[in-house]
Amino acid sequence: MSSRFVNEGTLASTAKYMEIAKEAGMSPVTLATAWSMNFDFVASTIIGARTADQLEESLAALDVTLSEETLKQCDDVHKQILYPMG
Amino acid sequence: MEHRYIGKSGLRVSPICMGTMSFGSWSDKKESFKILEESYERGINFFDTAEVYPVPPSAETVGVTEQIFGEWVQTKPRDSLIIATKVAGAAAGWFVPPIRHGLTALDRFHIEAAVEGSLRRMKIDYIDLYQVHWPDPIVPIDETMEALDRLVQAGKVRYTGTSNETSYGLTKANTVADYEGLARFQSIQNNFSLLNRRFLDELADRCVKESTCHYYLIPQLAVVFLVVNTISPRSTKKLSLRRIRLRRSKTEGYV
Repeated sequence: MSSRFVNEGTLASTAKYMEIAKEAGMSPVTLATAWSMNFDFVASTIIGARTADQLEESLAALDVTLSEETLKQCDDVHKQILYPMG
Repeated sequence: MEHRYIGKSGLRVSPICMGTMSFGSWSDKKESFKILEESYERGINFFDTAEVYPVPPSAETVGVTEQIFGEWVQTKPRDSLIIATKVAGAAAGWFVPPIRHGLTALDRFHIEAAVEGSLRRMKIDYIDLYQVHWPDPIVPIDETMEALDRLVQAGKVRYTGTSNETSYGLTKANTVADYEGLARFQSIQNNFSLLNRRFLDELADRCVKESTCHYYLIPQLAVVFLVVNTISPRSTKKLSLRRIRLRRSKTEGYV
């Protein structure tokens, strides 16, 4: 089961998303959270934290609007590595 | 803070929901309170838990998350919070939850036992959004929907939702609810993230067409990132895929 979350595909995708986040000037966690909030069928996005220090990167998504360019870059990663979680 | 509706319910929630599944396992009570307090101060009003939390579920810790969260809830005006929790699905297949002697099912008996347990542990008298954590392949959905509806009628639950469900399961449940005049599922909580876009295949379309379900989801990429972030730079080079796998191996399944 664990390979569903962490496998060659998810790690390769994650590396690409980290690059996109860097270019967009935000943390990867902020990018991931903001991306899911971008869909109108998503009412709320659940975040998790083991420590209070980890909260900020997720909550930062409240003040972020992803650009068309960033969204396209994210879609391109998906096209290159389809459904890495299966 | 902008608020959004869950489906066509009266639940108005912050666009970010605070998850709690680490409370009592990876996060101790003190840290959990800190996380809750800080998110509340930032305008988060929506909190999600489950009767089987914390993860990984174990007989020793099951229920601790709701206890910790419930203790914090007592420090806030109850109606300033939207509290979501979940009844465990069927003890079938590869996952048997460590509650009710591993005999869980989505029948009236278990649903009533589960809601009473959650209310007691959280020391609250109603739940805003009560969700099915994962489906039951045996008990007819009619029985599940009727049992959930009784909780709404009794004032123990404001609205119901589902989780880890297929587009067929969602559609069937709400069709039955409409036909029988029962409370519909107002939400679905499925995996959806940069790394898992399966929700877009069918369920997103269902949400729009049913127009009663709005959804809240877990950005799993963040989970992966957080795991990566907790690895010290010094050890990163040595970290093989296998070791990351081991770190993650106990945290999966129905989150």
